[in-house]
Amino acid sequence: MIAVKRFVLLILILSFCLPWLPWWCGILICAIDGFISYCQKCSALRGGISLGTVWTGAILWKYSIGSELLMNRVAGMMGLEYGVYLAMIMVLLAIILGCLGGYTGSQLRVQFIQNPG
Amino acid sequence: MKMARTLFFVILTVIMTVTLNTKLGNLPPIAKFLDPFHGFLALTGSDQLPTENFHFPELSDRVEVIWDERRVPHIFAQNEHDLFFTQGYVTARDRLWQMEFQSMAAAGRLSEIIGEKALQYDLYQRRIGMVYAAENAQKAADAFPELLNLIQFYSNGVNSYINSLDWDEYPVEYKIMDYQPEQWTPLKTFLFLKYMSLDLSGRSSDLDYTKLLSKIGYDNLDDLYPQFPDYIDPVIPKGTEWKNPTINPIPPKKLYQSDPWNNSIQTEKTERGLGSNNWAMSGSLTKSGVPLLANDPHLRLTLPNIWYEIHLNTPEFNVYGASLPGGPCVISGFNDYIAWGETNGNDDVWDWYDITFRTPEMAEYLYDGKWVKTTGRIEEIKIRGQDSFLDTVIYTHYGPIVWDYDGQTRRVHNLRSRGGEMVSVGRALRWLAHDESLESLTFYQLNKARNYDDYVNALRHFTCPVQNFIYADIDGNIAIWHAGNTPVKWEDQGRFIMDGSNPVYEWGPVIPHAEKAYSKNPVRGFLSSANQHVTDSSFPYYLGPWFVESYRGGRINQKLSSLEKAIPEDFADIQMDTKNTLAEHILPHLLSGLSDDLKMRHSDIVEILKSWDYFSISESKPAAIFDRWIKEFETRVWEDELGKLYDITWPDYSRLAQLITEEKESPWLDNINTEKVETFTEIVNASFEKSIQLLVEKFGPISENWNWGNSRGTDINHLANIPGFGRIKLKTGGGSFIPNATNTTFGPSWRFVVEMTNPPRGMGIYPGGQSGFPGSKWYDNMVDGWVSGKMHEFHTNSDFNQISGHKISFSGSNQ
Repeated sequence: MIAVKRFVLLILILSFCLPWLPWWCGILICAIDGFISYCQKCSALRGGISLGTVWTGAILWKYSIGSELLMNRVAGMMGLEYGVYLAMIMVLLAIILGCLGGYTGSQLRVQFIQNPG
Repeated sequence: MKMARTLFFVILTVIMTVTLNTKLGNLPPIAKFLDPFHGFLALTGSDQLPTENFHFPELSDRVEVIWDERRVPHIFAQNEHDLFFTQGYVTARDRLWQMEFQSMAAAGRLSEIIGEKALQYDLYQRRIGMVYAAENAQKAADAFPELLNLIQFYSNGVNSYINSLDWDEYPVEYKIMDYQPEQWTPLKTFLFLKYMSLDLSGRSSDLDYTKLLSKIGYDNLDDLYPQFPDYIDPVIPKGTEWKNPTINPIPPKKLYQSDPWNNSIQTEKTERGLGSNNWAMSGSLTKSGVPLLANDPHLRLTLPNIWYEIHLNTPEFNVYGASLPGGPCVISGFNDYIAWGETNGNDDVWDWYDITFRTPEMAEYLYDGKWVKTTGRIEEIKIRGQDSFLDTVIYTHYGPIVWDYDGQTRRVHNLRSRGGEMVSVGRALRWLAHDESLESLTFYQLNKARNYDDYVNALRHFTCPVQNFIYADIDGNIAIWHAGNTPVKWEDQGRFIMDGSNPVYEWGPVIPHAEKAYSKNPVRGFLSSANQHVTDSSFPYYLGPWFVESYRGGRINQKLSSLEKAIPEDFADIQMDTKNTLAEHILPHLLSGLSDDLKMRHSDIVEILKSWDYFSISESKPAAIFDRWIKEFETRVWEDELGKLYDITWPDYSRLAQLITEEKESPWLDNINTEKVETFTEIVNASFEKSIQLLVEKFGPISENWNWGNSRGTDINHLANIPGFGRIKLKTGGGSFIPNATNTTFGPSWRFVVEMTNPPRGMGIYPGGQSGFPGSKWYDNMVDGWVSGKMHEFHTNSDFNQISGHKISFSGSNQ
């Protein structure tokens, strides 16, 4: 239950912050989450899934208000046949970045809090 | 170990963050670009029209803007200041990136955006003096505060839009190339106009002709490249009488002959088949009894399109038409009194002079027996991610030295149908566009013109590129003026590279306005131009060595002659006409030369060709076969004597047609590289067989793949060639020597027809859409209609309440 709450909390924080902050702040937030977490694997997983979820939500929102044509054209620019492939790549990128942020944060905790000196 | 692991992940995270936030090569900064909050997706819905009224302190009065169903803005202002401010704002709203990119391309600043790979291009733009030309235009405008002010108002409007944006809202191309817009200035407007001058007049065959002069001699050159071929159908009807010239240039006693063979530098040469159409018909031949006018300028087709449709209204004037994003006013269109449109004039206003320098430092050059000082202009080309490249461009009184060492700049544009040429070192460019000029004043005055005299006066200011301005008015007049500051030249002057030390080769004064070629209300009842010869050889001034062949113009005149009680739709039909009169002229002769063996082996193809009605529609197979065949035939005729197509400009098709139809025994048909003497029929058969072989290799056995629309087709690429942002493989008909002059990447960039009722009514289309945003449905919504020949009716009512659409008010400091 606590784990679910942390997921929800991280998603909410990311959803609230990312519209106002540069993209790399997502990594930073996931890293902070990792830093205050005890489980390294959980941190990575939570970071990846949370950032992926928030980006997915944003992409779906943009789709719903008319970004399909733009997605298709940008997909064409990148050599992809359909916009949905581009959306999948975007989500994958968010998952990788979130995982990396979360895991790096947890590594820092291990280094400086759990095993200081 | 744990420390190392931690360090590894920290460094990996930092490296990934920096890498994904940085533009690498052609790739945008990946994560920054793909970020759904601030990347390209942030632009979702950015093409929506504003829902709230605007307030700008720069405006002195209220302005009403209505966007109609095709998203054409109709701007109703109380004064010109507010009008052009709003035009700048509204245009930038739809086309900001295009405007800026084109002005930077003109100025030779693309390296700032895309790095070193644009350096050669930028160098060339700097070397030919593009900024110098724009600065001179601005200098000329200084004497006309009224003109400069309106360009400044326009700039202010553009800047108001730019200043309202943050990173999230920048057009998608800025995000892809990762840069930001800078402030617009009047100089950028002048730069853009010079960009058009370059596009329309910045090529010549001087070097080719110089090479040919030394290779085949003057008589042969004149035979293959006649300046007035037998078949011409000039813009100004034959038989027009001319006044005696008031200026009579004196040619040199002996023609200077440059050595053209000593280097490997290349530039662009005259583009064959490129051009535009316009025509007007007097009310005596139309159903409504009022004149009709049509125009379709043929340019490189891009998305966003080069034109932006707009309706401008003040209590003083009400004008509608195509504007150029980057400059105020309408360039081709109509108001409540007159209509006008342009085609390229093709006068030779781009010449080369051999310069003799005193020392390698190029501080002085020989002119009229004396050493004259040069000036230097240091051009700093900023390169993204690198140190700037500094280039000192030497200027003579003719203009800049474009090349001063061998191999300095390579050919800078893509090869087109008749590619690059070689130009040697120490050569100065004399280009009319460098002169102080007031083209924008012409358009401003045309927008406000009320009658024929206003039109003629407006054209006085037009300098470069020389254009054929077609005209019609509500008083029933039609006219055409060949307008521009063509210099007085002796015959052949500028046909070859000239001696820069001899004043005899200097350009003369401008042809006096009253002595320029024009026609008003001709007896035949119509006027037209299609870039062909302006006049027959009786015109007293020499305009240049080459004009487009008359196939396209002749066909238009043929169609116009056949019209009775013409209606606007007839004009639209002519714009879409695909009759290939070149093929009609020569194909029967080619077919008659085919051997029985080939006729039997390729009976299906021969039958297709025989039954062709000569219309090059999209579904036509014979159009594709003929096109391949004539190219193979021409190669066999010219390559042996003249060299490869990209090394030398081959003679026009009209000369080739003469060989095919009248001179089958001509020595030009023989391949001089073989001992045997080749005959006409041998070339016909060999070229036919080869062309079929090539078509089969490329498209397989005869099928729909051979259709003209598939095998040739048209690509409308994005202006910066961004893949996926263009519309490619469009199944178009037409061709280079055909009224519907659609080609692979060129074609009618804007078609319109106007009926001069009171007030006039018009219709038109262009291949693109009003929005420059690739995510908008208005980005390319007119492309399919353009392919099929559809036209849209223009809404030109001078009462804004009568125009339906999305309405917004722009208020100013007084409201």
